[in-house]
Amino acid sequence: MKNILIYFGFGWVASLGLTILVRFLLKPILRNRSLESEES
Amino acid sequence: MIHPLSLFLILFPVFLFSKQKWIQATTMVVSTLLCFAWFLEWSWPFSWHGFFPSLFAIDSVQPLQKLFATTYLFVLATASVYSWTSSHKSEVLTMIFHALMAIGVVLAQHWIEFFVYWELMSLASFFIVWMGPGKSAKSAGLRYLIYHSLGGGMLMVGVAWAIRDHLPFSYGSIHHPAQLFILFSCLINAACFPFHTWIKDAYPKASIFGSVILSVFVTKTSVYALIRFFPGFAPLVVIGAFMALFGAIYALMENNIRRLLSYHIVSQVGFMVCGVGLGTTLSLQGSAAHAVCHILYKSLLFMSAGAVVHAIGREKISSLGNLGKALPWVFCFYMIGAVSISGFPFFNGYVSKSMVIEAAHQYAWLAWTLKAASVGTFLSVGLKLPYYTFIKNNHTDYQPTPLPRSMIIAMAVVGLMCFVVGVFPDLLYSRLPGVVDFHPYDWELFLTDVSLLGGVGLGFWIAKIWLTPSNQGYEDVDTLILFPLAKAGKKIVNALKHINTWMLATEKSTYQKMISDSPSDAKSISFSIYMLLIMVCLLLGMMFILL
Repeated sequence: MKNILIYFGFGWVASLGLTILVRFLLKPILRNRSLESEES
Repeated sequence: MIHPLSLFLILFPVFLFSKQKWIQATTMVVSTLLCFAWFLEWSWPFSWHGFFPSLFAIDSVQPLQKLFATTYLFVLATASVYSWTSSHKSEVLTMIFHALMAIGVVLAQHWIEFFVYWELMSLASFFIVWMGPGKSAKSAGLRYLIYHSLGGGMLMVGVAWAIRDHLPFSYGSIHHPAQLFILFSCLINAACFPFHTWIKDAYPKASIFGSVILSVFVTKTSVYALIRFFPGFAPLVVIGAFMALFGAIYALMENNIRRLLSYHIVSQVGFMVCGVGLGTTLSLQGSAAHAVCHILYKSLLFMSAGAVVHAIGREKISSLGNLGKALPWVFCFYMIGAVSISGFPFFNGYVSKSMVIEAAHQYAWLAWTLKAASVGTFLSVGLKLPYYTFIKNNHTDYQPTPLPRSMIIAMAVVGLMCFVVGVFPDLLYSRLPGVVDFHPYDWELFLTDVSLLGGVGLGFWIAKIWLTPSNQGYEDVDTLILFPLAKAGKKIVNALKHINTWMLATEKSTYQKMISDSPSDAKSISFSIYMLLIMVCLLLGMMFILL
């Protein structure tokens, strides 16, 4: 039971953490405008 | 055992003059029969003692070789069905050739054979990318060739050195510099960081049929080589763990479906590289099992992505939506691939990934890093991509083209295999090298895996708005380092051109003046100026080397 809660909590926290890391840190830092024009 | 290349060696010249459908049908039938023959361990009814016996029958096949060869034959058969409607005979032939060369690599019995098949496989994969639609495929193909030429060159040096020093073509630890060259080549082909950019650059540019074949053979052949030649090489643990997390994070940012899946190849190969680095029996078995399962679910995912591109003509998540209603079968098969890669119980990813994670428990940081990478995988491939592509009703301005039945059949067969291997893991475990002492359907493992995935689902439900795909490009190693370096190189070349033009002009005017003053001295003075320049260059070179 304890392990199940630990894993559930890890899944929840890690998914939120990765989302926040990507959205608020990596996306603004790694944004490349020249690639956008190339892509579109 | 029957060598798969023997039959195709006879068939390939016939293929060159045959109709495309006949080629695909023959390939499908022959590779399916060979797959069964390997699975059931049939052999030729006669013994062969010809000029090149290993090409016709192999006596000493290790379980690892047998496992990879059987899986490759299965994928070749299904890819032949999937590409039934392809209109490019040359591309189909190149795809078959590429697959056969990959089979040649895994069944190679000595260094020369390994090297020749490896190089031919890389060359064929370059042509597959290069034959992709649009001009961008040509430039991506050339960039792909640069990376693989580097890897091929390294392999050539390593193999030549290995042959000269009589290194055995078998399992072993690193004790010779030649092995480092071979390792470097394997790392480039396995898309290890920082040599991973060719994968996200080239795979989305190939045709929808080409990308299915590419997603299977190149990286997994390298994983085979790593398992065979470098088990227990500790730095691979760190490289693999970083790759697993890096690929998953970049996939979360990506908007292009096939590029997102390409980043996930980096992440999943990271698990395998990690297992190789750990070097225990379970971790090596886990790496081999994960490579096989990855071949199955990744080909299914690329088939589904190709089906979306074929039906809608778009591959950016931000320009898609509500496809579940328009393409229900594609959605169904995509989800089978997605839950497999995410490690859901009863699907093949679960039975192999949990082996690597279990083996990684000897280092707590490693086990949790791999679990975090699994979270990223489920978040991007299992939740973000299907939610914004197949479920959310944000774009409906498309008229889907009906899918050919061949695509549906191919996806159904691969999807069924993902499920069968997930439910009956012993089908896979019994073919791994050694005896597998691992039980994936242990209650604790099962419940902890399900609760981890449940936690990720809850996290996505809360934070899905932050994962909304946008039409943005992001920096990677190539755009951060290689492209600026290429630009700087171009500027240096331009500057040198200017200097050259200026020197020629100056020389011309000096000559004209000299010739008019004293023509005999002109040649000797010119010679001494060149000698002086050569001396200065030599001195600078020596200083550079000495410092």
